[in-house]
Amino acid sequence: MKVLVFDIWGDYAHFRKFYTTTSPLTFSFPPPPTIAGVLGAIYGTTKETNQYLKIFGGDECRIAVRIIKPIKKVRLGLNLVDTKLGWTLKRRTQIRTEFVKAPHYRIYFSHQDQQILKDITASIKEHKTVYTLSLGLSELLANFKFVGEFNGVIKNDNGWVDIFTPITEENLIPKGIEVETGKKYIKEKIPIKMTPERVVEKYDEVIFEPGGQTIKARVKSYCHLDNGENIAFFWDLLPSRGTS
Amino acid sequence: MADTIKNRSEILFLYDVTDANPNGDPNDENKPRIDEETGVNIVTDVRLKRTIRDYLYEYKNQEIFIRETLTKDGKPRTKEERLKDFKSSKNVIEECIDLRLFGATTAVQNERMTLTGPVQFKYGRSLHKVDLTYVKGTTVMPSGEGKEQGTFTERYILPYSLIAFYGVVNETAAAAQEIPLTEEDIDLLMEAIWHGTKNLISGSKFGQIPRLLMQVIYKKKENFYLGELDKRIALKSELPDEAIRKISDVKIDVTSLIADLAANNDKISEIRLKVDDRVNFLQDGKDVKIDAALKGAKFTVKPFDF
Repeated sequence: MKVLVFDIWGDYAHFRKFYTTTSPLTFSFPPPPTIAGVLGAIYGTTKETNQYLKIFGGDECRIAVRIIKPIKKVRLGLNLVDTKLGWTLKRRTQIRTEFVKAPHYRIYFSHQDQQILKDITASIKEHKTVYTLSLGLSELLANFKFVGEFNGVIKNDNGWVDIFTPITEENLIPKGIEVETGKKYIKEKIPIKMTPERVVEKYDEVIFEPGGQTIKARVKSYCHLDNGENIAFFWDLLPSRGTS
Repeated sequence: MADTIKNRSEILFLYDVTDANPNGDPNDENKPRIDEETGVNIVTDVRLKRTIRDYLYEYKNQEIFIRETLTKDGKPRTKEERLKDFKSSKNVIEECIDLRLFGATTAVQNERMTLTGPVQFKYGRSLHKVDLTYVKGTTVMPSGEGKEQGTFTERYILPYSLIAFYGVVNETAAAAQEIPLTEEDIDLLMEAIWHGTKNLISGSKFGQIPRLLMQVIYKKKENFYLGELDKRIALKSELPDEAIRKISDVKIDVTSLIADLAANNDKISEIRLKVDDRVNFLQDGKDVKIDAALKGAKFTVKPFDF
């Protein structure tokens, strides 16, 4: 299986948590529907039908994300317009909003449609994107860089391995984490799949190391890349239709 | 209707403030926004957009959607009432330049508008650590009847901050959403960035001077832009960051900006430029004029005519 690997980074990121209403908090890394949006922006899918969720958020593709720079969260006060009681510039509401500071992630992406994979790989190699890239909010502009194209082999050996990416609870074998010194372990509940109507179909808890270090774990399935990295995709792998 | 824009472009804008507060944090005593870890001053994208909107409305006779309007008895009007000023949501976009540039998300009865702005700016950041200063003052007039004297005032200012804004103009975002964003709109945007910044003469913003405005225009259908123009320049000064007080204390190193642009010269159609004469630029350790340096890298350089 061919896996496209590229980096995305910016000054700030905000991936709004769904269970906060008054003070917006951010996930530590972009959840799969957000990554689907990034891929859709590069590829140029139209916004009206939320086509990006069909092409880059469904069972035909595989997505994993790795934290490259340690997660640092900061809060900035944003001056929003209160739209509930009339809409005026005098009636403001000040909201402390949480951001990831200096976010830097590595995205792993594979798709059964080899043409889509080929096209998006070519775009990223040439640093081309159809729409402007951002990290969660339109003003949080992002930059990106091609890292490589690797061959990946799916492993279901259930043995202990060092995983470079967040691991979903669904994928984890019970008691399948070996806690190592010098590492932190955080669990966040994130949206995994979203329908083209932008309704979240599936949430899951994910375990990750906020400093970007590996997690020693036993998982049901992971992908071993020929650059030596082991990554865990956000959802189960189906047998690939394409070659390799 | 004039033609909609066809080219991708990137904007780099530098301006400085002296003894002022470029953008207060409403949740933090209206202090200038500072990244506590690095000491860098931050200005939100919406502050710059407000500057642009105000200039276009007040000086260029442009209709702006996001502005305060009042009812007959002087009360602020709601979003629903503001929308009624226009025939339809399509009409709003045709009339209001700020919606064409920055988009809007509104949902009011029977009218829904979700437009991603073709023009997006990142938060502006100072190119150096800033020195937060607390100023106490007095007011002459009492604040109410029965009081016999004025009171003390207090505010936070920055003695100096040289801020870089970076933005992208995306032609596909305009076309895909049928936003009739024209070249003329972009010209007005650029003028508003420069003169709007200069003309902001409220107490907390007086002393803002635009220093450099650069628009890198890419060839049609390239889908390419360099990204992060703001990270490709560096401030050089013999003074410690917090002691910088004026533009002549610093030099802007444009070596990597010009090198990175030059490496993609085949994709760039032209570069538009406006520079304040007092800014000193450096390339490969030598003093340069930025327009000469760009021309030296074989770019077509056109000055902005405002």
